[in-house]
Amino acid sequence: MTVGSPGPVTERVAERTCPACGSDAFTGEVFCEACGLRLLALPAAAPDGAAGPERLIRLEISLDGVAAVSDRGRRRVRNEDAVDVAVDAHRPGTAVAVVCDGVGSTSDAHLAARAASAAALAVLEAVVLSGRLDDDHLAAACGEACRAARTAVAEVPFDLDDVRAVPPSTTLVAAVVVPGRAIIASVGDSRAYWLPEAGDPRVLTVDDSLAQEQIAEGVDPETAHADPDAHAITRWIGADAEPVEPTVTRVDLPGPGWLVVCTDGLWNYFPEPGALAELGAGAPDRSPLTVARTMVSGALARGGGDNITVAVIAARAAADGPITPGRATREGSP
Amino acid sequence: MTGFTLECFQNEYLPEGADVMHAVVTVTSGGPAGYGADASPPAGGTDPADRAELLLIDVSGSMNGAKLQEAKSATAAAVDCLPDGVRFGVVAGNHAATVVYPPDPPLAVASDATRAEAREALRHLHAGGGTAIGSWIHLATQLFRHESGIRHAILLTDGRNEHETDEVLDRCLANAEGVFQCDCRGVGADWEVGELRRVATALLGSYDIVPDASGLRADFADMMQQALSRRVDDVRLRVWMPKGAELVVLKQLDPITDLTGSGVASSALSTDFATGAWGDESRDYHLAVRVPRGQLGDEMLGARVSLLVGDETTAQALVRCVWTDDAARSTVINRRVAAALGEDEMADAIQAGIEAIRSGDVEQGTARLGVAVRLATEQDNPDVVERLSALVDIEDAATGRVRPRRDVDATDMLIAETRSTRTVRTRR
Repeated sequence: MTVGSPGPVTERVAERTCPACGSDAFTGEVFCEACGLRLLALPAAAPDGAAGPERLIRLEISLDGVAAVSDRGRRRVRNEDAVDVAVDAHRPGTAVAVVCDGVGSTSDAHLAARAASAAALAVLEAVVLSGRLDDDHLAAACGEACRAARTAVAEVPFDLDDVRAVPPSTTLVAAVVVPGRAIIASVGDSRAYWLPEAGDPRVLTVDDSLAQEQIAEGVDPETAHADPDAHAITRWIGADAEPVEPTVTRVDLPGPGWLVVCTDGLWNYFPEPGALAELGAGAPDRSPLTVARTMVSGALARGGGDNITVAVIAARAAADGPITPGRATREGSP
Repeated sequence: MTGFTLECFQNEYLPEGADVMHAVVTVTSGGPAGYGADASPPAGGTDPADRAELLLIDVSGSMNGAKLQEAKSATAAAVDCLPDGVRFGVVAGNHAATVVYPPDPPLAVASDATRAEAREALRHLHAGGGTAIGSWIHLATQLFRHESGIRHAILLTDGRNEHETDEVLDRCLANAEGVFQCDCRGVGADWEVGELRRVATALLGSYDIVPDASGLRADFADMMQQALSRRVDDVRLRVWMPKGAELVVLKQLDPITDLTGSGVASSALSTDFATGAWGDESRDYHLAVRVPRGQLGDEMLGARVSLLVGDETTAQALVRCVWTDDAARSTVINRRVAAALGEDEMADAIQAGIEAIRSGDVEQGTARLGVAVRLATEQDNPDVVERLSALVDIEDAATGRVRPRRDVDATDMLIAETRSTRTVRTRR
């Protein structure tokens, strides 16, 4: 293991080794050049004993500093949300989370959400691994991630001859968190929140929804959200949609806190940032998984009318300790 | 300069215990969209002097009469397509090979004068003798060895390769690989599909039947125009696979050219496959890789396909493998992959059916052709169903119920056999 030193680089020095086969690996490589296995610590997305996504009741992912929980809820027969998270084991405080909500009126919405989420994550983690973490690069990567997601969704099998079928579609919200800041990308009405330890919690995304359009035109939020079509989304990722550029936001994260991305199955019950922060603060301990579980439990307790998915990232300030390379780790879901 | 793009179509999910990943890799070469075949070539296009063309024409005894006249006319038409500056020649083949033009080999430089001389030389051709295709290939290899740039030949035969052994043909093909590309045509109904397929596969060309010699002239002109539209030479696919993986198949589709055995190792884990010269076009490749089995949740790079022009990598595509116990993910077949596998299965059924009927096992042959009819119907491929209807009476195409036909025409049999391995482009 070599720690980077100043001066001209004359040859590439292996920064780490493949956890699977022990071969040398280099910054920027996503797959081991010897055994082909993915180098980044990625959890096994193992459904808890279920045979297929339709019967997937709950998915939990826990990595160092990031956790995600996706629950089918109490009313829906299948979980059409998807979540993927990743951390860079060499840069503590650096993490990626993608949450997608398959559009319920479309066929195979669950496959669309999974395809989009996996494709977007693959792009974003490659950028994180490349180490080019300036805002411009991350913002460009968000656009690329959405294009990759759209390509992946377009590949979801879909019966063209079935006139009733609507092409699979999904929302997407992605967060790339590095010490001191985050880049958020969103298409649709899944949301990102910043819940700092000190200071005011806030929502970081603007819904692409009819309600939001009405609010923008001057209708008061209460009336707008009461409209039966309030939750109809105005932008989404799908084979039938125009290629969309995500709304990309850069956020300063001056101190420690939770960066939360979630589907409307959670935020419908806790739309106000303060309410969500309060819910999270009630967690019995300070691990991201416990916080995520607590939030999902809160939505289930309020009725669980939709699939509930949340990813919780522990954010840290920019100068929060030295950066020490570590070995990639993998943890299964509990 | 022409640009290349690579796209990979696959379902990256594998069930637990599975170890073969299929993908369709699409290579597209061409300038910006809307750049048509009629437009002038982009700056930096191939200099005519960097191109050599040979016509290898069967003059065995069976060609005598109208066939030879049509072949001469077709050859003249192909020669007339050649732009000034292209180096070219004409070879007459029977049980041996002779340079018909130019009189002072290796090759002439195309001009009004040399094209007229070549036409005149063709007039004096006569038919006689047997067929030894390897000797034609051998002479072409020698002529092309002095040339650089894009080297391409058209080979025409009407009969079986009776006057040399398979071993001789194979040796000649091995020497010719990488020296030139060769498009093959069989005229009439007395030639062997298998032989032309071997030549075309080894030399990265097409093969087809021209049932009636009167169709040769138009076909030769088309073939030559297409060859001339190819401006980028020495294009290779480099396939990287992880340690312990093996290549199951790498096959060009439309027309099917099996490249699996033709690779040359470029490093411990990478193998290069020549694809010949390219114009503005798109080709699909079916790639299947057997990888070391991963555990549930593992994600592996099963193959990385790079496109090399000369020694420069111009495009790359990744074939990923993810093991999952989520059946809804792993059982989905990518549409493009399904089309490639389905066409393969159909081509195999047609081949096996025709071989069985030829060897006298009508029952077995008819059954196999029934399977082919069903597959062609499922794949919405009416051209194949139509061709098969000349070989069997189709009672129900959807289920593949067919009856033997008594009056099967040898040409129809050959058409079905040749074109069963030429696929229709899948809808995007």
